[in-house]
Parts: sequence; C-alpha cells; structure tokens
Amino acid sequence: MIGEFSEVEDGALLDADLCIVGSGAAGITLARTFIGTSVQVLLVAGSFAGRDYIPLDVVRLRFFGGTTNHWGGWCTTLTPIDFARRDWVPHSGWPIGPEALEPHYPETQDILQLGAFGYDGETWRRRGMHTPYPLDPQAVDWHFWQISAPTRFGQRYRAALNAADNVRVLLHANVTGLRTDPAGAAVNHIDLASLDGRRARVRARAYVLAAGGLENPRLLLLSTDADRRGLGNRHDTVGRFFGEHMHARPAQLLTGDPIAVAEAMQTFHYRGHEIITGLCPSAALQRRLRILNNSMTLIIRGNEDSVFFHAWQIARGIREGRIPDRFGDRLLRLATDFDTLAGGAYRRFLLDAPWPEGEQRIADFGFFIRCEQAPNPDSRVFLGEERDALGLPRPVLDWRLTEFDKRSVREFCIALGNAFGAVGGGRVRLAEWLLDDSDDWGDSFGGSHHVGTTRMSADPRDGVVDADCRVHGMDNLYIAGSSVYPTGGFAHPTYTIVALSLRLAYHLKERLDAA
Amino acid sequence: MGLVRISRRRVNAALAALGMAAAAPEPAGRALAEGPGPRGPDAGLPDCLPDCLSDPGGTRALGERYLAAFPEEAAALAPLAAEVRRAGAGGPAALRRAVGGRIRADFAAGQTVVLDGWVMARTEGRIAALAARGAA
Repeated sequence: MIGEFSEVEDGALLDADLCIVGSGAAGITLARTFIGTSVQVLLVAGSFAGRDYIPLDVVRLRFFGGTTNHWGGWCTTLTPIDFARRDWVPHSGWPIGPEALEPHYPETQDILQLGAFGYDGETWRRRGMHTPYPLDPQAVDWHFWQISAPTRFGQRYRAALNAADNVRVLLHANVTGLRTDPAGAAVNHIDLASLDGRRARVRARAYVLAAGGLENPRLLLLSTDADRRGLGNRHDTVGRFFGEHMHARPAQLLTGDPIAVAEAMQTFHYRGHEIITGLCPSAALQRRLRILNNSMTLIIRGNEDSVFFHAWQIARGIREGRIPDRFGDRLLRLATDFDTLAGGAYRRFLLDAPWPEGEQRIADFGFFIRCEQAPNPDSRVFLGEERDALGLPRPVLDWRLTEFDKRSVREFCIALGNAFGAVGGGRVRLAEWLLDDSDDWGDSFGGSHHVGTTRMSADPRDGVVDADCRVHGMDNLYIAGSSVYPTGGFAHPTYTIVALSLRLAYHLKERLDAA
Repeated sequence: MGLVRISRRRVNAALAALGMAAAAPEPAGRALAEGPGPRGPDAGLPDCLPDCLSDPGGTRALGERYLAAFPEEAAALAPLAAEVRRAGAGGPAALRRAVGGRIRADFAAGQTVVLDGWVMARTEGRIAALAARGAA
C-alpha cells in the first residue's frame, strides 16, 4: 500500500517489523522481497528538500524510486579482485567474497530487466557474439556491461508494492533521527517529519538505512542520543572513505586496423539487450604494476561522410537481428551514393584493394575510462553548519583523490599502449593532463557513484557495518546500498546494490522469522 | 614532459612505415637481434633506411625530440645501427620486417617510453634517432 505521510495522524506511533529508510534500488529491492510474507514492512520515502561536485541535493534523488529516477542503466558485476585484500591498496578487502553475491545474480538480472547473465569475455565469445582483438591476456581482460531499460524502480515496482497487504510505503516522510537505548546498542524508534511540520515515530524490530552514500552517514552522524559522535561511529569511520568513479578521457588510439578494433570493442545487441564491451587490467597486471582497477571502453566516432560507414552499421544491425539505428537515414545515404558503394566494394572484394581514400568508416577512436578510487579516510562526508528545511545539518562532502588514483590510470593506459603495439594494432597517446601527478584531471567528472561512507569490515575499527551489513555494535540497525562497499572497483554500483540488498533481505527474512 | 608537441599527423606519418613493419612475425625481430654480420658504430647506416621511412623529415624530427627527452638513449644507437645495417643488407623489405619484429618485441616486453603522450617502443625512438643522426 502506498500512501502519503500527510494522511498519518500528527504525533502517531507506527509499528512495523521492518522499517526501511529510502526508496531507491536498495530500499525497493528489500521491500519487494517481503511481499506476501508475514513481515510487516514500512518503507519511508523522503521528499525534496574539497572538490567541485554536483550539488548534493541533486546528485541523489530523495523521492519514491530514489536515484533510479535518473540513472543510466549500466549494469555489471564487480570482478573477483575487487573483493580481495590487495597489499598495494591500503584499506582494501571485503569481508565477503564474490561467492556471497553470486547466488543472487539471477534475481538481480530479473529485477533490473536484463538478459542472459554474462559479463566476462569467455561467456560472450562462447555465445558467438564477441571476437576479441588479440591483446595480451596476461595484461588485459575483456569485460562487459548490460544496459538496463533503465529500470525506474518507483515506476516499475509501484503497483506491486501498492497491492501488497504487508508493505506500507509512506511518501514525503523524512527521517530526522534514529533514537536508541542509552547504550546505543539498539534503535528504539525513528522520528519522521514532513516539510509542513507533521511528525510521527516508527517502531520496528529491525531498521535498514537505504538512503544512499551521502544520506546514510548523515543519518548516523545526526543521531546522537547515546554518543555525540553519532551511531556506529566509535572509531570515527562514519562518512570517511568516500569514493567515486572518476570518468575520464585519458587516451586516444591511432590504429591501422580500425575495423577489427571496432568490431571487438563496439556495442552489440543480444536477444534485444544492449551489451557494451570494454577492457580492464587483468588481476596479474594490477598486482605487477601495483595499480587500482579500472575499465576502458572505446568511443568510436564513425565517419558520417562515408557511405561505407552507413552500410557497415546496417550490416551490423541485421547480423544482430535488430533494426539498425537511424535505418531510414542510412538507407537513403546508400541509395544516393550507390555508385561509390559499388565501386568501393568491387575494389575491396574483387581486387583485394583498400577502401577508397576518404571513405574509411572510422573517423577516430578515443578511450573512456571509469576509475576505481583508492579508499581514503580523508575523503569524507560530514555534517556542516548549514541547516536544511527540517532544521537538520546539511552534509558536506570533502572529496579527495590521490596521486595513486591518477598513476593507476596512467599505468593502465601505457599497458594498453604496449598491448596494442605488441600485436601491431596501433599506438596509444595519453592525454596531456595524465602525464603528471598533479591534481589536474582535465575534463573528467564523477559518475555520481557514492561508495564507502558506511563501509563493511570484519573489524569494527576499520568500518561501520559487518559482513551482514549490520552496524557494528548494534543489534537491529542495518545499512543497504553502495555506502557499504569497502572498495568500489570500476563497476557501476546499481547491480551490486541490488544483489547485496537481496542478500540482506534473505538474512532479515531469517532473522524476522518471515513465513 | 617537454613543451614541444609531436602532432598526431606527424607521428602517423613518421611511424607509418614502421607500423606496417610492426605486423611482421616476431622471428624477424629475433633475426635482427641475433643474426650474423659486422657490428660497431663505425659501420654506418644502410642506404636503404631512408627508403623505409614514408616521411623521413617527420621521422628525423621525432628522433631529435626523442634524444632531447631521453639523452641517455644515445648510447644505444651504435649497437642498433650495426643491427640495422646487417638487416638492411637484405633490402628495405627485410629491414622493415626485422625492425617491425623488434618493435613488437619491445612492446611485449614493456620496453617503451612515453614521449609527449605517445606510448612508443624504444626501438621506434632509436630508429628515428638514427635517422636524425644520419641526417646531421
């Protein structure tokens, strides 16, 4: 059932078994897993209220559906090395391994409206969809993304949540604090408020904060009943280790083999789903160069003046069983320049000559990278002096990158240059901003992927939640979302957010004796 | 890195000949490195070296830039000149194959440098430097 907070009596005490704060990918995934069970769920959806960054009240969307209301749909798994403790990456290592998430991947695929599971090179080669360019497998791995619809969780799952007897969604209800027992070992209730002054409390057996990498630490920090440092913050870890995925254009590729490179690195379609191809440093290369993980895709700018480029795009569409994009435009281009096409094809296929000068299909290639950021305790979210519409302190972000982050990008680009050069595949040129260790990242930008601010750790001194996503030292408070990632790899976070949320949901089902 | 910029067009032209050679099978590179023949810095460059360069002017400019950025590389030129001369005895095609193999081997072994952003094999830089020295 979905309702407005304005329909709740002012000062009411609402009871539930499970209270979920936040209605994005994590919150809705959790809530829908309990549909039809004996567990009474209350889902609270809010309302709008160092380094240059996107305004914090824009980058995360605080209404039903959360940030899935404006995400791009890129889905992929973390790689095995992302979970490992790497002796060259301080503070690295998850207390769980990839095997903890793998059982939840099939359900994650369904929730995110994706096709057949597959994110590694071997899978797509076996399916006959990918012919890898012969780069040194000791240096680079092929990696893939699937593009979600993108699933807008608020729209996609609204009807199911509305029809559920045991799930109540409260819209425009903002959490103003978590109230605990004097020892701070358990949450007694949470306080809610609307922008027009209505107030209520929620009492539950278990609570999950699923409000994103900025709001989760904020709610812990402003809940000071038992400890002025905030909940779960005995070791000053809440809000620290803020990480992003810097998106950058670090290099270009100059190749004499453009079609083979493009065929290996171009987006393709499989059973109606869009698949993106990329490269990442192999685990061996990361270990040898002592670098972070990252991923590289190729921006392939076609030669729009070339009739052969349009013919190629039509052929690709037909081969993949889909209507080629801009099909009408391309057909028209072929029809109006058919003599050039026929002449070129005659030269190419009967005389074994190159395509005519000026009619090459590819204009140029540029690399695009998504970078892992090293866990950095000085990169953090904390409470500022400024207050929001509810009188609560606004969060402040002090996002910091290090030389290690930039060196990792540079070393991988050089390794790619070596890999392409070793097979006669071309030459790589690094962008000028990448040539030194300064804080200049050119026109790079963050991907609005917030990780690390309530990180998972085996030892309470190193993080905020344990391997079950429960706040260290607390009995009934859990956190869902990418804020629990100890390290972020290069993978867009939503896929792992959903898988982790499913894992947490099944843990809570057991704990709450869901029938 | 210095402020002197090597343009994409210049690198493209200068490396074109070597780039084609880079597709040669690796054994050709080994032949360049291990094959019999006279050695020594005084042996001179083979006459066919300029024939291997589609843009001799661009290659010389690249070589000058390479030596300016990595002056210690000058010591490696004499042994390479001997190898080039030996491989060049078989004509431009043989020289291209041999140099190409060596370039590929450099990339595979990580024997590369970054010059004004370009990731290039040391052999590429040294060949260009030889061309520059020859012109001087």
